[in-house]
Amino acid sequence: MKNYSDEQILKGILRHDNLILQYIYKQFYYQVNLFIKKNSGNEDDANDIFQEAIIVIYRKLKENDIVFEASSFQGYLFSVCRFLWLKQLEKLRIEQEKINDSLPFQEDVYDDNLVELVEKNERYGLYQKHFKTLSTDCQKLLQLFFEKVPLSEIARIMGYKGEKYAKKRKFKCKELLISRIKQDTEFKKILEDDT
Amino acid sequence: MIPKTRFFELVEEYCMDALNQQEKIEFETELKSNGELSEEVKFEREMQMAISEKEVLNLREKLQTVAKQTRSGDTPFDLLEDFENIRQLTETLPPEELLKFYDSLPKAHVYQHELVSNENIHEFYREQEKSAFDNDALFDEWDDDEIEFEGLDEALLEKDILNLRDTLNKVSASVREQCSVEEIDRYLNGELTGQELERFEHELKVNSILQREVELHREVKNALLEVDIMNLRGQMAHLMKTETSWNVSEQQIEDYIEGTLEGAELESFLFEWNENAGLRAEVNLRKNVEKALEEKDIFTLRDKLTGISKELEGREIKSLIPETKVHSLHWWRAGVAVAVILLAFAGLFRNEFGNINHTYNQYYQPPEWAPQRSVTADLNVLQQANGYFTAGEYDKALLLYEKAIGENDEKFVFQFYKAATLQNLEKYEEAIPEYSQVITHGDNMFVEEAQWYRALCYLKLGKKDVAREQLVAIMDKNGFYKNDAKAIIRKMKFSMR
Repeated sequence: MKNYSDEQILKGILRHDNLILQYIYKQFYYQVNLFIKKNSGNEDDANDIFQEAIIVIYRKLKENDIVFEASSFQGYLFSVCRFLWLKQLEKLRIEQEKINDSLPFQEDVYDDNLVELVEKNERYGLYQKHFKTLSTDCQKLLQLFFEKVPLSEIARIMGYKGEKYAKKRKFKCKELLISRIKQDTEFKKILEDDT
Repeated sequence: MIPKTRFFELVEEYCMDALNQQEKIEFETELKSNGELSEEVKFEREMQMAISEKEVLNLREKLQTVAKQTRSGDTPFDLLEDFENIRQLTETLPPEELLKFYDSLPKAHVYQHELVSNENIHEFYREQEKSAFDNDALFDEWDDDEIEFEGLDEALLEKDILNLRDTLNKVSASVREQCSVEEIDRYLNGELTGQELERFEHELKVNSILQREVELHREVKNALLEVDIMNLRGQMAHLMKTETSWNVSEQQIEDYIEGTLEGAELESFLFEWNENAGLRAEVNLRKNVEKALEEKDIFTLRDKLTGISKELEGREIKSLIPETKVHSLHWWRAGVAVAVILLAFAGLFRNEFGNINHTYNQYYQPPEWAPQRSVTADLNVLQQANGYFTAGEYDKALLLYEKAIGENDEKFVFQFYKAATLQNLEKYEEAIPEYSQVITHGDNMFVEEAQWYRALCYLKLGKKDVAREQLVAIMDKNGFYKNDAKAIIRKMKFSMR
């Protein structure tokens, strides 16, 4: 199999290149999987953590905030995965001292910015998860609205009678979304963590 | 104009006679002309009175009970038990009643402040209660009226606090409702103006719940604008579902099994093999498939057995024994097992066999017939039609199904079997809309199967993209056909592009 350089990988993530994503998955997933299974997790956890780690790295890339000094993409990825899993364990109140470290991670990755970013990612991920449960109508409407498309235009695109109806419908969609987010137990946990 | 919070302070102070002379005169003038105010004052008075009076009442009753019980020589614990009944009376005002009056936001705030101040008392008493509790042993020995009375008093306060906590929850819930999604939304869009805006901003400053709410709305908005991240997440999820998670080529796996993998390649292979459970499973599967293929005798035996159970299946259907389903499922699963092995076999010689028809044939097993899935459908027609169906007389079966669709409410049963019949007749284009109707109906037990067979129809028709879409949907549902769907998708990637 072809090997990609770190730079190629990062660029690939930025443009959501399927080949690169595949490569990352084939190359690194099993180690993350092993690590999580050794530390009170299961296959699903490993899947989630791996996916979210890629998202976190993507966010970092977007912010132009990734520097590999003493590390490599692999080291970085593993560090993020490890960090995410530790955070999860914290929530499950499992003692972290007994962690079975099988991932070659780097301590220096854990800066404040990462902590913040991961928390943001956690919240946003939750909002997005619920957003995806809305009807496609609602999803499209809200996105158009947030992209600042004028109401008259939205009404035209969605085939509504008029602006007034579009507006009313938007409120309904948003209300539904907010209430779903609030009912989510994860959300309550996040709130608790904040206070 | 008096600000609302000040307004309620004034009312309270007036009722408690805490206003100075001038304020009092002003207040009373206002009171005469302002109906709302006088109502407020009346309520405040009543509430104050009710609260103080109830306590007096309780106290009195309590004292009486204590006196009575001590006289009859009961232990302090019995006393507390009896107290359960009195607790009902200790309630101040029911929360609903309070809420009815406290319908405006500032009022709720004022009330919350009161609640909080009461809670402080509670903490104080709780500390005391704790020390009293520590002295429990002493408690028993001293048969002293005063000590018993103290315990009751604390318990009473405790009940009070419980009620207040309850009310607090309700009040805060009502406060939350005060700022509707619509209002927050309009605020964030800059649509609030003048007084509305002023009021909202003032509220925002003092109300932490509202602050959090507004923050949530902001974040949700930002989150929804991250279309790229949502796409990336979807892409990753799809990839992880359909991709293998090992980093060695198929050739390497085959070489490893044959024992021809050498040198650095072998080393890196073994390194991953050690840690990657997925790879180990794959190697084992391939080894087993090879072994299975070597056992030609068993292969033929299995074929025969399958044929026999198929025959049995046909007979059982005619006799309509409820066990049919269980039995046929066994047969069916065995069929899938054979299909999977055949597929693996096909995988090894993909270049020769890898075409759509082959995939279809490996995976297509006619649906088994399970009358108990439909409760009210006309069993006679079904039985007859399925007799034709299993005997391979599809044309006759088709006629019966069509007739039944016209006559029955539970159309989907017949639609499903009609579609299955059409599929058996290789009329895929006609089968698809029938399956679709079953799926759209939604509320029946054939949906999952209909989706699976419809996907196979698309596959057969060479509509790969549609088929793939359907198969992915089946995988997402995590149902019975999940693994088969996954296997087909994987196979499609290699051989049908």
